Amino acid sequence: MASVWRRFILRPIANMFDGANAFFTKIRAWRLKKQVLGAATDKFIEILLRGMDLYFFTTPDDDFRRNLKDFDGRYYFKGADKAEKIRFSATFSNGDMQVHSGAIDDWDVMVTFKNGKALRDYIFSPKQDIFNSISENAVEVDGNLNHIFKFGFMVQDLMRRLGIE
Amino acid sequence: MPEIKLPDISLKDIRLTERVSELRKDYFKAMPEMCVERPRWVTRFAIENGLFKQDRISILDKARTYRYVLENRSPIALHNQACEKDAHTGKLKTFKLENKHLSLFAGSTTSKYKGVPLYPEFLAPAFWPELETISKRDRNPYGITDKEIDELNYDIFPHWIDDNILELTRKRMLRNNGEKHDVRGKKDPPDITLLKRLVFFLTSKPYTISHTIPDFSRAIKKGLREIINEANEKKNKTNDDDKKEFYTAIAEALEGIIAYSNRLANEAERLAKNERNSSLKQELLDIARINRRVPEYPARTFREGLTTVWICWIAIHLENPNIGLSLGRLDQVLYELYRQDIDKKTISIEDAVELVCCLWLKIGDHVPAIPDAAEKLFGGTGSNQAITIGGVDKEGKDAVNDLTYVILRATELMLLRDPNLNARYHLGINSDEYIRRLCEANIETKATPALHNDKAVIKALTSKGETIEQARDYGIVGCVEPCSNGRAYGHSASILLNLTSVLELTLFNGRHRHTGMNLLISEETGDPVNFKDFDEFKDAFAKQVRWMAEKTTSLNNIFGRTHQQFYPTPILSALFEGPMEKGKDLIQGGAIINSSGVTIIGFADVVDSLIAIEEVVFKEKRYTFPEFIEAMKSNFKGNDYNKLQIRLMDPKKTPKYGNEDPTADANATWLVDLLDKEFSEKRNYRGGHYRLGYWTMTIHAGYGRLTGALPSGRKAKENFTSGITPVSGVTPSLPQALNSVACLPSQSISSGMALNLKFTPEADKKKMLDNFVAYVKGYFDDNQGQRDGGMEIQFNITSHDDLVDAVKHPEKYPGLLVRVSGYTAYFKDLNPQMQKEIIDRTEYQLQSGKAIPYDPFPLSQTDS
Repeated sequence: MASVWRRFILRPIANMFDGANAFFTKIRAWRLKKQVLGAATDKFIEILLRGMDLYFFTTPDDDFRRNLKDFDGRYYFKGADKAEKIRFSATFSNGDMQVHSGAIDDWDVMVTFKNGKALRDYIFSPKQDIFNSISENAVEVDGNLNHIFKFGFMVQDLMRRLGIE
Repeated sequence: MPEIKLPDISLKDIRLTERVSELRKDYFKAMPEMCVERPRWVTRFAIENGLFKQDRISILDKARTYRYVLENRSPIALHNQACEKDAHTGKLKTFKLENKHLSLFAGSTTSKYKGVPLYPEFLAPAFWPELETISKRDRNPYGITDKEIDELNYDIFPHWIDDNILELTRKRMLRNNGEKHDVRGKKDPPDITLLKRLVFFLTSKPYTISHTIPDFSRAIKKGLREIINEANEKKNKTNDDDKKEFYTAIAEALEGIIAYSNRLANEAERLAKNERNSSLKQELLDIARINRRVPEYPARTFREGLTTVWICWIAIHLENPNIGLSLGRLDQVLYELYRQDIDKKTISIEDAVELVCCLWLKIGDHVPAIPDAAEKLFGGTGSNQAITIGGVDKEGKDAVNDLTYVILRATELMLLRDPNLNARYHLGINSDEYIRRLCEANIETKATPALHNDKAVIKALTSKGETIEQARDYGIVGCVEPCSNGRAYGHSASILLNLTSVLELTLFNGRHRHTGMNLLISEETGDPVNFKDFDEFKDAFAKQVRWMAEKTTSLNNIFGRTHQQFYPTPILSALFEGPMEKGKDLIQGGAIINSSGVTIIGFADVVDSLIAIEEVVFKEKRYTFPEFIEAMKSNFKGNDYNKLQIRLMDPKKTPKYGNEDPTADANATWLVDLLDKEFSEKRNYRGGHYRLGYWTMTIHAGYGRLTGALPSGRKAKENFTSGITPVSGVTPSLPQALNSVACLPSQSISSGMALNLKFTPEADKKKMLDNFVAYVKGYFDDNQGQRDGGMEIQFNITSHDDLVDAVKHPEKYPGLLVRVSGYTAYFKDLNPQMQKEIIDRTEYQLQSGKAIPYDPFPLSQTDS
C-alpha cells in the first residue's frame, strides 16, 4: 500500500513541481554530504537509506531508477557495541525501495558495524577501504556479498548524481 | 640431447628489431581497460539457454557457451587504439595506435589492447561498487567507458547476483543434501565466516582455479581437427552417457577455437585488402594464411607452432581466469619446429627472437582484475603466466637447447613482468655455461629468471607419487610451483594460509587478537602460561595446525564441488593428458595427477617466534610466558619490553632462522614437516592430495597489516617476510642463509618455494657473475646426499638507493622490474607496504657474502 501511495501519488506530485523536487534533493544531499565527506556518525546509515529512498521516488531520472528494475534485495544494517541500538533495513522489490527502522528476518545480506565511519569506509569508493574495515574488525557481512556490491554501486551512483564527490 | 649450435649463447648481438621496439613502446604506454565482451556474451548465452535456472551446468553447456563466445567476439587482427594516462591531468584517455609495425600474431585475449578480462561467474561483481571510480583510483586504475559501466551495471552483473561460485557455495553449505529452501535470513556457515575474516586464510576457488600448464604439444603436433576426430570416435565407441557428453563437449569447444582462428584470418584479409603499404599488406596476408592453417591442423613451422600456442592460450583464458595459467616448457615443445626452420634457413636466429618477443607482448596483453580492496593483498601483480626453460628431459638428459637461449635473450630484451620466466638447472647435467648465462640474465634484467634446482624439485615430486619421468617433465606454474607439464591439475593456490594465525590460536588458547579474546575460533589447546616445557607448546601448535588443515581443506573441497557442478572446463580438458583417455573433465579428476596446493604465509616469522619462545621462555627462563604475552600485546612498548624486543631481533642474542643455528634450523625443519604431514594426509575433491608451498605474492605485506606483534620481536602491522626467506635484517651472512634454506626437506615442500634475495649491483660485472654462479651452485648442491639442496632462488639486483629513489620518483623508473615473492612486477605498481618490504629485504654483497645494514624504510602515515 505504501508503495502504491509513493509510486502513483507522491512521485507524480513531486515531479510536477521541479522546485519541490530540487528542494528535497538539496536537503538530503546536504545531510548526506556531511556524512560522506565529513565525519560519518552513527546516523550515517539512516541518512543514507532515507536519502536514497527519497531520491528514488522523487527523481525523474530513469537511469537511476533502472537500478531497481527486476531487483529483489533485502538489506539489514545492524549496529554493534556502542552503536547496538541502530537497526535499519531496506527492501527493494517491484521497482521500489522501502526503508524500515528495525530488523527484518529474511535479509539477503546483514551488515553489522561498530560505527558509522567504518560502515561508510566499507561501502564507499574511492575512499572505500574494506581492508581497513576488516583489519579493525569494524564491519561484518553475513549473506550474499553480491548484494552489498550492488548496494555500493547504487550509493556511488547516488552521490555522483547529487554532486557529492 | 640437443647440440648447442649457437655461436654465442648470450646472443648479445641480437637487439630489439624496430618492429618490436615500436610495439613495446605502445605496450608500456598503454593502461589496462576493463573488457565487457566476455561477460556480455557469456551472460547472453546463459539467459537465452536458461542456464541460470539450471541446478547444474554441464560440460556441454560450457562448451556451447565458449563456442558461442568465440564465434561472436571481435576477431581483432589489429588494435586501433589503446588507453593511456594523461601526464598532466592523470586521467585515463584514449590514444590512437599508429600501427606502422604489426605484431606477427593476430588475436587478443580481450577486446582491448591491454585488457582486464572479467569473469562474472567468479568475483567480477566485486567491482560493482567501483565501476564509476576504477578509472580514477590512485594505484593501477583501469579504463572503462560510461557505456561499459551501464552494461555491467544493468545488463550483466544483476544476472549473476545469485549465481557466482562464492554465492553458490554459500547456499550449498546452508542447504543440506541438495534441498532448495530459501537461505534468506540465515547467517553464514561458520567456515564462510572464518574465510570472510581474511586474517586466517584465503581460498582462491571463489575467483579461480587455473594454476596449471596445458599440453600444447597435442595441439601443435596433431592440430585441433584430429583431436575433434578422436573425440568423435571415442564418443561413438562408448555407451557411458557422461563420457558421450564429455566428448561431444570437447568437439564443440575446439570447433569454436577453429572458428575464431578463421575469423581472425578473415579479418586479416579484410585489412590487407584495404592496406596500401605493400609490406604491411603481405604481413597481414601471412597472418591470414597461418591462421587458416593452425590451430586446426598440425603446425609445420616455428611460427605456426607459436601461433597454435597463442590461439589456444586465448581460448584457455576465455574459460579460465587469468591468474596463474602457465605455458610450460616452450623450449621443449617448440624445439623441433625451431630447429627445422633454422636448419632449412627459412628463419634466422634474429627472426626467432623477434617472433618470441612479439608473442611475449601478446601473452602480456591482459592483467588480472584486482578490486581496490584487494590491492593491499595483491596489488601490482600481473597474470603470473610462467614459462619454463632448461633442466633435464624425461630421460634425465640435458634438455637445454638453442631455443632455451633464444627465449632467454628475448626475455632479457623485453623486460616484461609477464610472462614470468623460470629456469631449471640440474647440477652435474646442465652446463656451467648455461647456469652462468642464467645468472648473467639476472644481473642484466635485475630480476629474472627465477632459478629452480632440478635435483631437489624432482625428488619432491617423486616423493608425492609421481613417476620419475613425470617429475622430470615439470614446468613452473604461476609463481614458483612445480607441476608436471600438461598432466598435473594441481591448483597450487587453493589455500593461502596465514601461518601466524595458527601461532595466535596457540598463544591465546583457540582465540585470535584480531577477532577478540571472547570469541573461541578453533579448539582450546591450553593456556601456554601453564605449559611446562617447549614440547607442550609444540604439541598445542600441532593441534592448531591440524584444526586449520581440517577447516581449510574441507572448505576448499566444498568449493571444488561447486566447481564440479557449475564450472567444468572443456577447453583445458581438451588440451591435457588424461581427460581424453578417461572421458572425464579435469574438474572431475580427469588429469593424470590430481593435487591441491597450500601456500604458507609468514613462515620465517613463525619459525623465529617458535625459536624465541623456546630460548627466551623455556630454556633461559629470562621472561615468563605472561610477561612475553604482555610484551606482545603492548607492541613492545615500555622500557623493559623495548629491551626485550631489541634482544629478540638481535641474532647474536636470539637464534634466528637463516644463520645455520641448530635450534633455529631444527624448528624450521620441524615446522615444514608438520605442515606437510597434516595437509598431505587430506584428500581433495578430485581424489588427490594436498601439497605444501612457500610463496607469498604480496600477501605477506597485506597480512602483516592485520597482525599484531609476534614473539619473534616483529612489531604490530609490520610486513611479514616473503616466501621461505629468512626475516630481513637478521641474517648477516649469505652463505649461512643459503645453507639454512638448503637443508629444508624438499619432500615436504612439493608445491614450491620462493627464496627472495637481494644483491648489490657491482661495477666489476665479471667478478660479480663469478660469485653469483658459485653461490647458486653451492646452494643447489646436495653435498653428496647430506641434504636436498635449495629448491628455488630468485633475485633483486637493484641498489637500495635506486629503490628508495624509485619510491620518490616513480616516473624515473617506469620499467623497473622486481621479484616479489614468485613473480616479477613493476616496482611502481606495488602498494607502499610492498615497496617497503622489498626495500627492507636483506641486501648482500656477493663479494664479501655479507649483508649491508640499512635502516628500515620509513612508511608515510597515510600509507601505513
